Amino acid sequence: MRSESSVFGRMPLLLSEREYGTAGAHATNFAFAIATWCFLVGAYTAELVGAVQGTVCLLAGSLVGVFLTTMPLSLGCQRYGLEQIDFCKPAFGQRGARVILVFYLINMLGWSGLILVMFGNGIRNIAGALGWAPGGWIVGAGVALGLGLTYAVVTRGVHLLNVANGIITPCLVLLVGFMAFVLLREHGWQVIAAAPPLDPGPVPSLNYLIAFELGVANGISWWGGIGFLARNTRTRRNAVYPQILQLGFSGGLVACVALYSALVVQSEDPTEWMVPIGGVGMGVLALVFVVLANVTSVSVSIYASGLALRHVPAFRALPWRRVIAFLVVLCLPFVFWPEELYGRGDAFLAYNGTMYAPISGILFADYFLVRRQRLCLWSIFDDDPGRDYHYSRGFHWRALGCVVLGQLLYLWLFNPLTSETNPLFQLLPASLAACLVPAALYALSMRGAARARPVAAPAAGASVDPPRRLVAPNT
Amino acid sequence: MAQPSRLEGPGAQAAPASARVLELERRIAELEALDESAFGAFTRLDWLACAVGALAVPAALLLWFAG
Repeated sequence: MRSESSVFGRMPLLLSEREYGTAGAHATNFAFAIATWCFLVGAYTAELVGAVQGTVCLLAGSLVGVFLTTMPLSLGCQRYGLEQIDFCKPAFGQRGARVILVFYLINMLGWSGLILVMFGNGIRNIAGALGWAPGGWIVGAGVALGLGLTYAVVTRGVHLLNVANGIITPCLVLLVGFMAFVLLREHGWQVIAAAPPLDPGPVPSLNYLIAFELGVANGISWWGGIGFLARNTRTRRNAVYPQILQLGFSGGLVACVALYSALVVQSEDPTEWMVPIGGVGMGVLALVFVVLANVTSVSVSIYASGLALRHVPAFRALPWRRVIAFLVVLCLPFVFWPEELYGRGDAFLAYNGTMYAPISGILFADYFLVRRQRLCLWSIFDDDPGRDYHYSRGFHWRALGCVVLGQLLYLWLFNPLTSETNPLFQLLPASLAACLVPAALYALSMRGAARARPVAAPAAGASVDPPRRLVAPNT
Repeated sequence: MAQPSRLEGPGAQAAPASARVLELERRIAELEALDESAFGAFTRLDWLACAVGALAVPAALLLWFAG
């Protein structure tokens, strides 16, 4: 019997409760991949490179990023039915996993804020297309309206969210197809391929590598959703292949259509593409739709953030409305400084690589090399200091230190805020270095340190270490 | 198992702690008792396919178009 409270809570999911077979896993991952943030990724890439190199960077980067992040998370969360913050506990410790939770929230709220500014820009451009030219204030007001709508959707529960996504996702597929069709029919590939990048740096090879970094960051950004998707699948293959194909490849393809649109219209604002591409009638219609789609994208993000906050004891028993209100408050800076924060979106996208590349590397090393894919579920949910995953006061400093090292290495090779690069960046992309080096160091430092725990039930008469202080998780 | 109430929302502590611990114990015991094959195979060939498709081919394309 499938229990909704288990699916959306922390209880390990039993095989009988999991929803996705092969078709379901592909469809759900595809629905996740087709989201309005792909428009932003394509737009930021158009600043640096043209259509051909941009296509390679977005597809290659997205596939590499998804591969790095999905292998440990998918296989681990699928095997043990865990959601991803619980999966982080063997590597980072009972409390150390909450540090990862902070990165997760920064990622989700940052994306939400950027999409809400796109929502505000969309309202401004709809007004402009209809002959009314409001001041810049309307963007901030639009963000506030978007936050209000998001709060209304998320607090009414997952059913409304599912209904909204059921309508929005097919329409987004149609919209992306329409954009690609019109671009190719009206302009042709030659024109798209010849369109110059919007704001490239002086060194073309560096622009290419930074665009690749954006692609990798786009793929790695799926870290937040991968555990939820994988724990709902019944087989390992259904956990891994749909993520690589849909989140990696299909998501990259949608970002490519956005890249072409940005290059042809010569604007990085997705809400400025629709009217020039589709004409006033179709353009305004598409724009209204993109604006609505932004609300569902943000709602999914805020919903997931609310669930993640349930890991923090203070939020476990709090009414859902208050949890969501807390998250909405954290997004308020986007109401007051929408354009300033939107302008730093490319740096934020690259920063996702900074955050998640080392975490992905350490999870990879921990799950495959250190623990040989064997976790002790009892210890994950046991708060006793004597348990395996408690380490030092709940923190596994070796793993957390490697994360910091990886982030510093990333910033040393490529600083996304200033776009400064180290000469070594031309030889080794920052996200790969920030993934591989901490992973190798962590694996070396853990040689012989991890104790193998029984996975299967003990034989009759054999004793197994009983739980001492089993945490009662939010269901 | 108790469903979350409308007031508390998803993921909230809807059931008493003792009931949740019992439910958790039941789930852990069931998952740990299952044979690895129950979760489906992921062989070396799968690893190879993923590594080639999502690492080697993208890396080759990246180098090819770098020039």
